[in-house]
Formats: sequence, C-alpha cells, structure tokens
Amino acid sequence: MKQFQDDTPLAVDDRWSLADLVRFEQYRLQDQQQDEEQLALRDRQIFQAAAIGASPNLRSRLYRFWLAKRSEQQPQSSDAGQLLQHSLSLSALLMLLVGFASGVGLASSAMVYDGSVPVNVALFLALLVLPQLLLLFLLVITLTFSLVGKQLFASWYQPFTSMAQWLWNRFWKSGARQQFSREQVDDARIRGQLLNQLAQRYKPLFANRAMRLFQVMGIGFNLGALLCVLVLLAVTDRAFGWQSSLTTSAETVHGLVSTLALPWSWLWGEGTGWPSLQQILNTQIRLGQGGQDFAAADFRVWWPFMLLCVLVYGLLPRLLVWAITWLREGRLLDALTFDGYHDQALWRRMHSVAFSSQSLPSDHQGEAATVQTPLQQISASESHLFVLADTLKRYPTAGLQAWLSQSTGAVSEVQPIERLADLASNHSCWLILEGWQPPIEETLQQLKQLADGLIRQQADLHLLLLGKPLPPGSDSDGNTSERPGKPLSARQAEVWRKKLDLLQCANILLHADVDAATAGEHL
Amino acid sequence: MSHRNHPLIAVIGHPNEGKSSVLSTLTEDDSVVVNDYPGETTHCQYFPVEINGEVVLELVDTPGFQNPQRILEWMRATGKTDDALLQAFLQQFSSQPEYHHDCELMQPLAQGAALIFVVDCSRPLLAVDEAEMEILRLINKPRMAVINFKDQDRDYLPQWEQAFRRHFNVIREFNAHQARFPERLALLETLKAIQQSWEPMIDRAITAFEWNWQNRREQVAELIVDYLSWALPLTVEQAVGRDGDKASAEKDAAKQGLEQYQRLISEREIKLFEGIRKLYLHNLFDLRLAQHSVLKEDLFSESTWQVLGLTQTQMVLAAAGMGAGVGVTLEAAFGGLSAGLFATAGAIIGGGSVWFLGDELAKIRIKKLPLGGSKVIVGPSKNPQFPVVLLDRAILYYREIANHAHGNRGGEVQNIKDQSVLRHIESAEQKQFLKLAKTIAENKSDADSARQQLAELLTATLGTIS
Repeated sequence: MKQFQDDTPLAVDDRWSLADLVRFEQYRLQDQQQDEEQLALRDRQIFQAAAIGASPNLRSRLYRFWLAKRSEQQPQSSDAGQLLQHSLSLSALLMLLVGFASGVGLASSAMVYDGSVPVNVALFLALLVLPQLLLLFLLVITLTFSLVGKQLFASWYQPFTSMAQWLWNRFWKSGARQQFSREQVDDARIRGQLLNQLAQRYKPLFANRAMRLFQVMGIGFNLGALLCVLVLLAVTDRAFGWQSSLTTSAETVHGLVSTLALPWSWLWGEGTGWPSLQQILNTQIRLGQGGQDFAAADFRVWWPFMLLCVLVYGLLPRLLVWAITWLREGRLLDALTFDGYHDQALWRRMHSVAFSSQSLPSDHQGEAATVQTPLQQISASESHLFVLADTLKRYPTAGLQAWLSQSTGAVSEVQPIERLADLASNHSCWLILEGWQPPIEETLQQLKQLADGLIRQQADLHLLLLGKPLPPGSDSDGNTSERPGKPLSARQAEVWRKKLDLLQCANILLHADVDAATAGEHL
Repeated sequence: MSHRNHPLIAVIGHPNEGKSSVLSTLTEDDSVVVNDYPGETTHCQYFPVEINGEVVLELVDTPGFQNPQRILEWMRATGKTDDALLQAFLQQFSSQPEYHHDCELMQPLAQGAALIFVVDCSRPLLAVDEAEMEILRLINKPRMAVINFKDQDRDYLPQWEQAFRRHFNVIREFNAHQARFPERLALLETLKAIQQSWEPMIDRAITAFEWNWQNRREQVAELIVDYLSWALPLTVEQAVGRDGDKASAEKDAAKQGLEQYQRLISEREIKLFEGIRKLYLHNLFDLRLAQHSVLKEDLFSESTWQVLGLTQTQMVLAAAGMGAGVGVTLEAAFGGLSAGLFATAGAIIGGGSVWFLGDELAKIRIKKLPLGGSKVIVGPSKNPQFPVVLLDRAILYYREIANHAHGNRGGEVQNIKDQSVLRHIESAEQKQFLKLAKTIAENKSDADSARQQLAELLTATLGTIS
C-alpha cells in the first residue's frame, strides 16, 4: 500500500476559493454517474501523485490537489466555478448600483429645498441614518451570537436559499412545459442539485458571501447618499433646520445630536462637528414659519453633522463588515475540513488499494460431447460378471449378487479382478463399475481396449454402473434384496454416456439403475 | 525453480472434487467454470492476487488427474523422486494426448508451486485417491489437503484423515458451497503453514482481502444511506382530474400518487440491490433467493411488513426518549387500534393496510393550485416502521449476497429463518437507527451528520453478519 511520501509540497496552490468549491461539487456530481472501480483507480493515482506529508488539514489540501488534477484531466466545458465568479461579480455590481441609486434617490428626497422651508435634518436622519443604526444594532447582535457559535445570519439566509431553489425549480418546471428541451431541463436539474449541495454543505461560507453582497449594497447606498448631498451642497445653497412632533425641546435634540456626534467629537468639536444648543434653538422650524430668518452660521453647521452621520453610521460600518466578511471568508475556506458524509467517498477512494483476485482470462473450453450411447435396462446377465476387487471393499459381495439376481432374474457369479487389464474374455461380458465416480481417462482407455478386443469376437461389453455405496456402518445386510448402494443419479449416468460416446465403441452397452427422482437433471 | 517472487499455489485433485469451486469461492470469481462434468478444466487457470498491480499470491486451478494409477506405476519404475521425477514425467508424457490433463496439472509444480490437494470427503477413499496422494508424495512439493464436503456425509472422514496423515502435514476443512468470508480468511491463513518463507507475502494478501472486504462493507453502508436519504423524504405529486365528481377524482389521484410512490421506492430498491450484488462480484450467475425469503416479496406486501422491521414492543422502546417521538411511540404501540389514522391509505389502495402498523404509509395531502384545480401530494412517510423496514430489507439482502459463496452455482442463496436483522440487535442500536433515520427523513441541517453516523452504525452492523 503506497503511503504518503516525504513532505514534498503540493505542486499546486492549495488554497480554496468559492469558485473552487463549486467546481469541486461539479466534479463530484459528475462522478456519481461513474463506475466506482474506475473512480477508485483515478483517485488513487491522484492521491499518489500528491506526494504530501502529514500536515494539518491534510484532507483540505489533498482535495484541493485533486481538484487541480481533475481540472487538468477533464476541463469543464461549462465551468460552474467561473459561472459563480461571474455571477457574484455581476451581483456585486448590480447591488452596488442599486444601492447607489437608492442612496441618491433617498438623499435627494430628504434634501428637497424650494427656498421656503429649510431642509429638515430630522427627516434626513430618519431616512438615511436611523434605518442604518437599526441594521447596525442587528449586526452587532448577529456578530455577538456568532461569537458563541450561533449563526443567526445563516438562519436568516436559509429562507433566501429555499426561495431561490423554489424559484429555480418552478422556472424550469414551467419551462419544461413550454420552450425548453428535455436536455436543457435535465441540465438545469443538475445545476439545481449543485446549488442545493452547495447551499447545504457550505452554508456558513455562502451565508457570509451573501452578507458581503448586502454590505456592497449598503456601501453603494451610503456613497450615493453622500455624493448626492455633496453635489447638492456644491451647486445649491440650502438652509437646514429641524422639526419634530415628538419633542420641541432643543435640550433633548442637543443631547441626541451630541450623542450621535460622539465618534467624531474628538476631531471636530461642538459648533463644528455638531451644532451647539444655541444653534439648535436658532434652527428649529416652527409651524407656518420659513427659514429665511435663520442665521447662516447656525444652519450651516448641520450639514457636516449630517454627512458625518451617514459616513460614520452608514458607510463605515458597511466597509467594516465588508472587510470582516472578506477576512472571514478566507478563514472559513482555510478551515474547511471536508469531513462530512459526502466527503468520505472521495477520501476512501483516494486511500483505496487496487485489489484483485480474479482469474486471468482463458480461452480454453471443456471438451464437447453429445449423448449417443444409449442407456440399457438391466437385463439377464450372462455368464461372465466382473468387478474390481477395490470396488468389492465398498459393496458387500452377497448384497451385490442378491441385488443382481433380483434385477436380472438370473443367478450370477461375481468374479473379482485386481485391475481392468486383468479382464480377459472371448464372450460378451459384464463389468460392474462405480458409476458415481466420474470416468477418468485411464478407465476409459482400458474400457476401449477391452471393447476393441471383444468386437473382434462379435461380443459386447456390458457396463453396469453402481451408485454411491452406503456409508460404513449403515445396515444394508439385513435386507439383501436392496440395492447395494444408492441409485445412480441421471446426471451421473449421462456423464458416463457422454464419455463413452467419445470412445466410439459400438459394442459398449451401458446399464444403470437410475434414480427416477433425478430424471430432470441434464447437462 | 520459480522465477516468481510471490507464492504460487496449485489446487490439485481428482476430477469433480470441487477444485474450481474452492478457487471460485476463495477468490470471489464467478467466471470460473464450475460444473459436474469431469474434464471441464482442461488447462491451468491462474488467479493472481494483486495489490496495486503487484502480485503477492497466485493460485492456480488445474485439471483433475486422469491417469493416476498408470502414472504412479511409471513413477515407481523410474526410481526417481522430487524435481527429477517431475521433469522426467513431463518429458515422457507431454507429447501424449491422453496425458494432457496430467501434464497440465504438473506444470505449476514444475514452476515451483506448492499445492493444495482438494478432496471431497463425503465419499469413500478409492484406489485412485491413494495413487494421486502417492504421486504427490513422490514429487515432494510443499502441500496441504483441503477437505471439501460436496454432501453432508461425514462417515468417510476418519478413513480420509488416516490417509492424509500419511501424506500431508496440514489439513483444513473448507466447504466451497457455504464458506463465508471468515472461512476464506482461515483457509488463506492456513496457506502460511505450507511454506514458512511465504508468510509475509500471504500476510499481505490476507490484509488486502480484509481491507477489501471492509471497504465494500463501507460502500454498501453508503449505498443504503443514499437510498434512505432519497426514499425517506420522498414526495410524489399527482394532479387531480377536473372531470366528474371532485371527491372521486381526488381519491383516484391519491390512489395513483400512492401507487407511484410505492413504485418509485421499489425501483430504487432494485437499483440498491444491483449495486450490492455488483460490489460482491456476483456478476454472471442469476442468484435466486430462497423459496421463503421475504426478499422475494414486494416491499409493500403484508408479509414484508410482518417479518421485517421492529416488533411493536421494540418500536415503543426505541421510540421512547426520542423527544418528538411521543406520537410515534403511541402510534407504534396502539397503531392497530387507531383505525382512523390508516383509513386513508388503506381505503385508497383498496385493501387493508394493517401491516403498516396502524399508521398510514405516507402522508396524503390535497393542495389547491393558484390557477384553479388541485393536486395530491403523497409522502413523505411518517410511519415509524417505514425506515426500519427499508433498512432491514437492505441489510437482509446484503447478508444473503455477502455470504453467498461464489463456488455455489446452485443459484439459491441461503434460507435463513430469522430474516429480520434489526429485531435481533441491541435495543440501544435500534433506538439509534430510528433516531438517525428520523433526522435524515426530516432533512434538516444535521441530516449530513446523521448520514455519516448511520453509515458508521450500518458498517458495524454489517460486520456482525458477514
């Protein structure tokens, strides 16, 4: 059994990417249709070529090497890994654009200013900052839970994957009824299985990637909002104020604003990075009142505050989470252990031993024979009745003679002989043989010699075949009329007939007491 | 002498003693011609045991002796022994057609082979047997005798043993028609006693045989787990016809759906069985199951559900403590009484379905479609016996196939009275099987881990029956 060789490093990059995982599953899905022996041979060879020493996360490195080899051996015409890569890039771009457009749209709505009523900072914060603060709060909870092993986002992500699968299946099911060919539908089903496998087996990874995509959307949104505000500020002069039905207390608003401004308060102080209490008081929008009388020095402090809010509570957390998910993806990929149920077969095949104990092919066939020598009924035995002395050890003479007398109706004297060659007769004679034993060449040749000698005298050689003797100690002497052994089976008689047929001796006549119960046995 | 670096062992004997059967069983090769027509093996057939392309042991099937008494007479007359006798014999007789088989069987010995002399000891010892053993003694190669009982008759054994003691140091019984894997291994172990220097190579071969057997068990376990993973959560949808009475259309659709559900599972089971059979290299001969084997019955037949699976008491014990299995427990215990629960399936398939232990086989739901009409959804099965019966049948089939000797060409696998395997394992294991099957059926996030655990549990269980 070839084991790992020395610690020679793997010849290929042994780091995984999401695209690699998809390719890996694609190959494994294809393997499900292949012959296990062929797969074992191929995977064993890849394993032996890996030449890798013992190392942490050995299975991951080996499987990565396997993937590289498989990609070399059988490049995919439709590379699912590449497809995923493109899909992810496209999705990221789309989400960035969608986010950007939403950010621009929402910010421009919040920044509407017709010169009569100042831009409502409270509305701006409610639309652009408050939801992001809520999301940030949820994110913190999620991350806290993930520290103790509870993947909350993964459980939120489950309904998304289920819905995606359902949509995929529905789409192709309805397509099958309409324009898609059977092959396309089957291909789609395979891709669906692939998606399903990926979603099941690498859930944390794909959940993480989905989270990253959402961050891209968030980044787009915040960039859009910031850019929109900056552009509007650059090309227009707007007044800012605040208004709320919940409170009219400037102190409360100041407290809230100061709290929100805490992250940048070390850099920009009150009056620069966020408005002072007086400025807040001076920029309160009252019902039926315009903003013309607001001092520019009071309301202009609002927009840096608004921008910083979007930057700090919108863009920066998204960037931070994006970076975390990016790092986490690398960590998750590095930590892949491939020790799930579906990973065992490949491991087993890689470590398999080519074992065979099967025979080498042979062209040799057994001899051909047809049955022609007829089987005669036992009839009146004539004067000469011979039997080998060795046979008589197993069949008592008295019992044999009694049985012959009963079967043939004539009293016969059995003459023992030591060897077949000792048999000498000028007349037709009977020879008792143990028919339960297969005829071998030396017996057949001796019978042929006897038959050839007799044919010159126009005499026949009668062969009387006996069945298997009764075991020693069995009581057969009590009734001497019983046959001396078990009856011959039809199959045993047939074997003798075929073998004698090959001798081509017309004067050999075969007699046997065949067991009727075995008459159905044929060659 | 031999140019080989591995042990070469020739299987020698009188015609029709079961030499080919012994080799067929030992090497799991059902391509070996085995029948009762003497002289079927006319040439040596080699069985190399290969590990990663390296031959570590080679067995040879040989033709039977055809002229033992004549050869012995000639050998005695030469006054030679050992290799000199062997070479002289081959020189003398290789050109004579009637000695073709005898020369052929001597060839491996001339190449340095040791020999296994195979005899059927259910028959008396004959003069030809004495002659054959004497020939082998004169040639003097490392040798052992293997007793192969073609019948159950053991009356002649003392006679044979006495004769063996004169000619062989190592004697082993091996029933080529019934030998299972442990017996095959035991025979291989005995080969080490023929010649001590071959021990390391034969050890390697034995290790490879053991590894291969374990590997196949693991593969069978995986096949079964894959089958269950597919069958347990299976659902079948059937559109309800829009013509006629709504109730009868729904009933028809449910009937069709249930039939399809059963057919799909039965077809998948056949595929599983084919896979198992292929793994155990029963490729060429059509194995017939024993007359009363429950495997001959349909998966959903009453007798299958009576013979296989857990008893009601076992089911209660196994389901107890499974948490969500309270309903299951009660159903298992009192299923036969809760007629209402099985009425659906029972009524639909036209006969009683009492054998499903009271619970319906599969859930049947009717769902309205958004664009009008409705469909019937059959499955997945919530019947607690369902996974157990599927498992039990698969394990039973494995037991029949894995234990069927390749040399047995009778075509019948063993008829074992106690057909259920799962009824006879420990209660804790029954509980474990049930729990894992439930997790797989629910196909939740821990299903993959349950699959792996089930595969391991199954591998261990299969190890106890083969």
